[in-house]
Amino acid sequence: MTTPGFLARVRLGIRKLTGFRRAADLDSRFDSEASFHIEMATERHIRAGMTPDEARRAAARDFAGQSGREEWREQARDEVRSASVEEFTRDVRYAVRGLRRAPGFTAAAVATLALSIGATSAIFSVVNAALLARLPYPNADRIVAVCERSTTKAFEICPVGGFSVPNYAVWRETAKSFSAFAAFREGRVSIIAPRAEPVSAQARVSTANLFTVLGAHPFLGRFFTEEEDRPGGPTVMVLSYDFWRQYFGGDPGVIGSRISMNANDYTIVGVTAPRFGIYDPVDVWLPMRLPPSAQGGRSLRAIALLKPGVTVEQADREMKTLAARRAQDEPRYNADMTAFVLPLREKLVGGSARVLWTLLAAVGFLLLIACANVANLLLARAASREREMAVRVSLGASPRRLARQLLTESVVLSVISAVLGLVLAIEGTRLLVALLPSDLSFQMLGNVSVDWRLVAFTAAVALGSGVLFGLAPALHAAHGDVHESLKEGGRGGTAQSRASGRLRSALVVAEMSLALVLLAGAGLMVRSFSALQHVALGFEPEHALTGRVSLPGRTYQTDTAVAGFFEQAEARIAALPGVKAVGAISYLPLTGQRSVNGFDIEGRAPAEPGQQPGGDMRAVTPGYFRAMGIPLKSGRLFTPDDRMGKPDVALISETLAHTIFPNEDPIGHVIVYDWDRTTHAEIVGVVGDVHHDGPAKQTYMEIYRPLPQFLYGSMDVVIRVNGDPASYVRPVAAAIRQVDPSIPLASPTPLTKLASRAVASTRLSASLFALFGVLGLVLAAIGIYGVMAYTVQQRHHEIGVRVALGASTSNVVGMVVRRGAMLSIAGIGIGAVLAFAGAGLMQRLLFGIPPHDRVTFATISVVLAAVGVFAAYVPARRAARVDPLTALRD
Amino acid sequence: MPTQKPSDELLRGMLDMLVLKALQLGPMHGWGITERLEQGSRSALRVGQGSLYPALYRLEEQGFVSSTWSTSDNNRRARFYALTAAGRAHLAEERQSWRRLSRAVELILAME
Repeated sequence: MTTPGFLARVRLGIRKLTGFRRAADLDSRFDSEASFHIEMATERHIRAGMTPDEARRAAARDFAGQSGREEWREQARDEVRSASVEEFTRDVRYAVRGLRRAPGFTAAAVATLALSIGATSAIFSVVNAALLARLPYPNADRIVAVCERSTTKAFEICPVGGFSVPNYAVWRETAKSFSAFAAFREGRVSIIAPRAEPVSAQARVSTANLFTVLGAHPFLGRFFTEEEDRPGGPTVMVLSYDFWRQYFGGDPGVIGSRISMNANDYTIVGVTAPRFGIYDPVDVWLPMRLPPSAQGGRSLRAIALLKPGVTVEQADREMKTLAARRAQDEPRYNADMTAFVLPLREKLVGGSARVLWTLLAAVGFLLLIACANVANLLLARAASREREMAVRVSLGASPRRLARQLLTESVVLSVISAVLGLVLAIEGTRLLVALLPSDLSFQMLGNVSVDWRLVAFTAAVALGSGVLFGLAPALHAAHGDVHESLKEGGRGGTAQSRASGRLRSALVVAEMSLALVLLAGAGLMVRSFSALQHVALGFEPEHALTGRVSLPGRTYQTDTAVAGFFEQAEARIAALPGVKAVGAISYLPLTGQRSVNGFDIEGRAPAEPGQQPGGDMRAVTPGYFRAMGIPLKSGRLFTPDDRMGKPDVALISETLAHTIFPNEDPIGHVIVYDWDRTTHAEIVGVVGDVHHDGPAKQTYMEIYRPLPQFLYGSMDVVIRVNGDPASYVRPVAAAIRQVDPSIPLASPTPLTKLASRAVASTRLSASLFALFGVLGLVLAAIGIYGVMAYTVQQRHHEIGVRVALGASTSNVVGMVVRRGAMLSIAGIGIGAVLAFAGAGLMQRLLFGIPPHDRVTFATISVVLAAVGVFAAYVPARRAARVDPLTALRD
Repeated sequence: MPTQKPSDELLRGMLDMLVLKALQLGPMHGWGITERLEQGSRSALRVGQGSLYPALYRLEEQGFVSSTWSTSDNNRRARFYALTAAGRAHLAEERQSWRRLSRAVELILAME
């Protein structure tokens, strides 16, 4: 098509812009032209001998033709308005027709693309919800987490409950960066709702301004007032929406009613909105009622609302200054401590961000492989359509036009795939959310849904990949010499098909190298996961049931009452058939709970304030170690006789024994708590280390104390059983109720579930990576197979000649396989370089394996090479069966 | 072109070329173009008006012809079409491609 001159193009553009106004002009112009035409035709008919009437009728009939004047006036108008739109729709129609004519090709391409687009979109939807979408709070971008951290000890950043109570009480008055500075902690409470069994509820004890920080509105009633948040204020509680629905049947009349919680009467003042929350979900909200000069340990979490205009950095600087001042004023607890501020999202997403981005990158690679594969399919198809294209060029289609046509075909293909892919993505997302690691907090997962970002992303991916895989064949068509192929009469070996062969080989090399990158990632993740699985946790998770038992402080005020309850309950549980051992601990491993405090050893010089070693203190009942399967290394375990009034005793973990007593026997030494100088606990034994924070985390210095001497009203009970732990839930709960009918067994869970939850994040990324890796491998293998099969077909004639000249089967097979192997090796080489360069980025996702692990790299290279050779072997066998006679005759 | 309806595109391209050719002889109104084509083909081709006017509008839109109101031989107001420079070039190219087409068609018809 000749390009119309520049001015003409400008005019055309202007006309298109003003198309609406022109429609009327066009109609009137057309009408004048039509009447002129009809008049002329009438005159001619009259000259030919018709009567004027007949002539006019005939002329009008002629003009209108069969289609009717109106209809083709429309047509004339369309011609003007939408030359390019029309061309596009024609291309699309043509593309759809072409795809329908090649159902095998279409099915293969659509399946490949739909799968990979679906996978990409599914991963993206999670990334979107976790990292991109707005958090469900009105002032989400101004909400920050405020944390304290030791500058010398490597504790987790911003741990659960690591914020000092007195520091909070001071800073809430002095910090200038925040318009509201809230703190909270969690606890288990027993609630007795009217006409129901006692239920153990997760309570969040918070300052009243937490709701201000989160910008929350109650579903019913109201939140706490500042008066209710003061010491001695009225006892009120707010129910979460779910808890209210479940235990109060969604009755709006509960507002103002009183219920019993931990043997106290509380007034229900409000119900939160559905899905409202921060961090982990809770059942009820209670006011903290903190006194102005509160004492206490580091048991809080703090979040704050930045004043408008204050940046996170400014707030962070202020908190660091305030923390430094506290370190001077109160060095005993604050030396070597600092405070920091980070955006809420960072706190919520934590380490998951890296996992998610890595997975998105991995699935992106898969998509690239799929694109390369489809490009290859299209090129193969283009080869078989050379004649068709040649004829179209003869009919006046310009190469540019043809290229656009082919590109349209690719985009149509990818759009069809994207629609299917979106459906897959929505299903896949549901699955992903179910499998997602629990360290992504719930309120963000509530947001994983189909939103405009997901649809836009999928559309962009579809268009992008359509252009990407359509580009090669389109460019190819634009440069092809069609006359050549017309004359060729379809036999291969033209310059064009050789160029196409090179392009296809390059695509296969690219596929192989991407597949290697994916497999390398998969290999590293799978090996990390298996390393994690093989870490000895320090206890035996199989055949053990756990559950939380919380005693209300009002009815269980004395150590004898608390210890007596657990003694009786454990005795009843132990008597159940199939129960082998039973015990309890203040904080079970893998629950993320701990209470770290400084300690000294009697007879040694006390450390400087803040310099003491941090011991992780836990209270246990005598049966705990047997129930968990934690071995005693030396000394003795606790007995029921280690009670209040008897000498204070302690058990320590091996890590503590090695760290504090490297060259002596720890037994007989006496531990003095930093915060309670009156307790002098003698070490009576050493027990095995336990990975309290999960297999990937270090072991801590543990100090175990007998429950009566170190009182906790809320304990995790562990029951070692024969057979399936889940089947013991009812009998155990019943045994506990026999001791006190108002005490429930909360969240009964098999210990194995806790253990598997601790590796859930690695398991998920390992399995997704493995899935993507295997898919990539399969696609790459199909790619090699396709290219080799095509080559064999193209060289049919040549192979025939070789066979005729005496080449043996193994010669021919060797020739083809060698070519396939060369492509594989080139791909593996490039991929290995890429993967090696990128592996460092995965360092922090890995466990127990270096990112450049030679064994992993060697193994997957060998696997990939083997698959490549096999994929080439199949067409090679076919080549070897070429009959020279038929090959030469063709 | 091996689609189900090869005639559409083929005939449209051909009609465009013939219209341009008719205008190469000088500016003319729609009626005159049909007469020129009829005479030129010794009455073998009769261009239906249903195709002619859309073709003219399309060619004008593409910048290959321009049009203006003027007076016909018998003193009536009529829309006159004239070939533009782009139209002239396009016609030359179409001629080329028509030659190639007829050669290709010949090749195909000669194929076994």
